[in-house]
Amino acid sequence: MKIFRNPDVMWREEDEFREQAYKGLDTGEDVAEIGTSILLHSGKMHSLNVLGTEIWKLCDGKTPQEIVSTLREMFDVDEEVLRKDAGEFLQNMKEEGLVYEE
Amino acid sequence: MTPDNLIDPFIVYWDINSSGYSDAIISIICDALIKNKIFVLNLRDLSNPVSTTVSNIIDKLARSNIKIRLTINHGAIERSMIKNLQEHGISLFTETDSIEKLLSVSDNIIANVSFLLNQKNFHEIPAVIAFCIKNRIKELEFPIQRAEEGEIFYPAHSEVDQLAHALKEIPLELLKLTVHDPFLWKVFFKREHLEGMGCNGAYTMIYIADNLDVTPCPLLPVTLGNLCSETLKEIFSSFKRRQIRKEIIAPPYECRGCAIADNCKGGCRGRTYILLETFNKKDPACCFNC
Ligand code: SF4
Repeated sequence: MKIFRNPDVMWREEDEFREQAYKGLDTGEDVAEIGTSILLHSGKMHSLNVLGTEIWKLCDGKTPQEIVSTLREMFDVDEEVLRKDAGEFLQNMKEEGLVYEE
Repeated sequence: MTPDNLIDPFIVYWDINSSGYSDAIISIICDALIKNKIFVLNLRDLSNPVSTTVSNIIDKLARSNIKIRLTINHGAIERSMIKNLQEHGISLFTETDSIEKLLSVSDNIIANVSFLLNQKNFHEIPAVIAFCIKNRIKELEFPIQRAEEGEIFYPAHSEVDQLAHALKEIPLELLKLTVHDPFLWKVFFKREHLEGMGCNGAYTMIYIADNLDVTPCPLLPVTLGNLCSETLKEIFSSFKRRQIRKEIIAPPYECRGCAIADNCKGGCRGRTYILLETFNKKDPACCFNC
């Protein structure tokens, strides 16, 4: 099962907030509340934090397992925790129509 | 989560001055729109024929990801224009304010419709929708009124009720509808409550007037800056913009205790500001629980 971004979703990374979040990650701060990207779909705005943004960017035909493996290389998080968080996040995005499976 | 602050807006309205702008100014603005990663540019040019400024802007944005929605005068549409714009992925709307003008369209040259509501034509809404469905028009928009273009209109509660009744018989799902007025939106989409977070002026959205003044919304004439002397970034990150935004989202005193105040936050803030000269009152068009 591969995951793709819905092409109707308009999105952008917020460079300043992204920089701020990565700096925070380096110094061990909690960056979960910093929105580093914005998605607009059907008149609804979604803001994703740094982990959400990276997952979103990886939804280009990768399987959930491939997404988790790539995230493991980027973030210092336990694989089980990452799998669970990414799984829930992808499920939410699917329900919102932001991504689809093929 | 919804961000409290945005680095840049993502929806821009730009009404074109038919006498045009210098090429340098167009380049500066278009470069800023690209650099600031704007999602949607709503261009409006009511000159007839459509000014060359429009094609200049479209050319400059051609390789960007910006989605362009172009509104032109109903009388200025040409068949070749539709094909050309479609090839560029641009949504074309023709603006009109009467069903009579819509019906007089020649040769089936029909794009999407932008129907500017006023006191005289409000009752024509069902006929306009029926026309659009019959002619397989994809999108119908009831555009935001322009602060500088005549009287600010909003329907009486009885007219809203009549509209709600008439809409029950119409298969609205056959048409993509854009309704900016929060109370009409509720009627069209048959919702008990409003969705969202209230007015988006000076937040996700800004308006560039034909003289390049930047305001929060076409219906909110508070000038935040002018693109002849400042960049879009400077205007959007200015203290003035942040102050106005604070006033826009502060719940008006009169809305205390309203069940939908969290979503509505006072209705259309531009209409309130123009008609009542304050942000601290509820939208005069409010018809919730009336
Ligand atoms: S009173 Fe009217 S304008 Fe105020 S929040 Fe409620 S619905 Fe909106």
